[in-house]
Amino acid sequence: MKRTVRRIPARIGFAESAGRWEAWGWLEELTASAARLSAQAELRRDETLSLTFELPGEPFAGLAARVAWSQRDADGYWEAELRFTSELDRRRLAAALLDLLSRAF
Amino acid sequence: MAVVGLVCSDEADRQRLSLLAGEAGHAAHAAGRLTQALELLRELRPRLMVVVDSPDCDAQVLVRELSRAAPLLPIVVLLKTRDAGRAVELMKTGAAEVMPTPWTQDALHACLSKALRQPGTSFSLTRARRRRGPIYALAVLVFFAAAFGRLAWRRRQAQQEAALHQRTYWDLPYRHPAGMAFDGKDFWIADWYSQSLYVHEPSDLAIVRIVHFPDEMPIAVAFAADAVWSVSASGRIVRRMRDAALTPLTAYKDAAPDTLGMAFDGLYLWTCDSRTKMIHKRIIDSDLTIVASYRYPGGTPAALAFDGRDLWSLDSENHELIRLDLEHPSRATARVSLPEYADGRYRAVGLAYADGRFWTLGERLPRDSGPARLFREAAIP
Repeated sequence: MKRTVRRIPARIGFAESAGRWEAWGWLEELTASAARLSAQAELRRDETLSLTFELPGEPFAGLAARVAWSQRDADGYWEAELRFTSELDRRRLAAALLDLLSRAF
Repeated sequence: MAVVGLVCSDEADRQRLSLLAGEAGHAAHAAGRLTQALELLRELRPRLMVVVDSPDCDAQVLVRELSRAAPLLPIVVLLKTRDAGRAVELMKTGAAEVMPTPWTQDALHACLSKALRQPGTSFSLTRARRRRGPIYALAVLVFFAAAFGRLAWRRRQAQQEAALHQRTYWDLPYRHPAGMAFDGKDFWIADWYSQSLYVHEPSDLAIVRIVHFPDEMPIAVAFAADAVWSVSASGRIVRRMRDAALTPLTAYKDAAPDTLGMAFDGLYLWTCDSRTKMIHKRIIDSDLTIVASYRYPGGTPAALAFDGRDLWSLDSENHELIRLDLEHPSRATARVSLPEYADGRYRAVGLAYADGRFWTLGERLPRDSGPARLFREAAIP
């Protein structure tokens, strides 16, 4: 695992049926199959959402994810673990993370 | 309780937010403009800045400028509309948090608390005390490592010096170069006589494309905001589409004519005026508004380039590259001599930064006596 001082911002899209505004947050952790997200918008367990973010050199748009768990932190923000549901997205993310980590000092 | 700075152009919003911040337990001090905000930073040293994004107060500019003045200061941006795209762009620019409307007490309290508690990289002047333990064997190892290390270091220095003196150049198939830029893939060079832009592949400088302008003489070129920008000898700056014909999108009557060089730092378009010897900082708006002008800290500015971190200029009078202080471009932070121009056979007219090196463009003197020459400069340490 490599931790960077630069946090990655992400756009959060919700299903149309949820009737919610698009939101945004920070990716605190990212793996090929999951992510930990911190956002001011409420994130509910088992909710389906789409994530858009950029890794250095590669954009990821509309990755489908399910909220595995969520909780409110001491500041009132929502912290959630997301699981990416598309196998194609997971493979693409794995390749991008491998490349990024291979270039990390 | 933390001292919090607040930048907002609307008086009513300033009062309301000051009240909300006070209710959250912070002492808020408000400013209406960037200059006031910078003064507030210097005098009060707030722990956090809150910036309200509005049409007459661009938060992206404020975040960038405030981050330059106080790089470790968390900046929170409040939006007046709920725009996720705008929020993410601001976060990429450096905002610690971005909060949408409505600005409720609870939401603001949570946002300020999060921004103040966010752990970042820790900095310290002193290192932690080391544990005492057996060090004699370690000392012997360190002695031999230092001895061999010094030899290796001296050898590396010698190799670096040899590399520093390396020069390479290419003669180009035209004689009247005026400016150049690198678009991330190819070199673009303007020739005023043929009224054309020549696109060269960097590996062998082969020409891969020529764009001809029947109505104008291009004298400078730059890339900014997904467009190609050209300056003509008549004093017009034109923003062009990146298509086959470089279709003009917008033409600006140059507010400061005699522009010879342009560079984009990601936010501002910088231009240099060879006659008045000034550097102009411009916002890419409908008028290419000049927000600040600075006296050039050299002889004659012929070109500008941004290397991803610093703004550099080409001084054609003193034959040197000058690194400019982005906060105060009238101050030079480094000067690099260009000996290939010292004998007067070439006049430096263009500058580009590509793959970690600077490239300069020379016009043969006397004019029209020989081909233009592209120099690849030695790596600057």
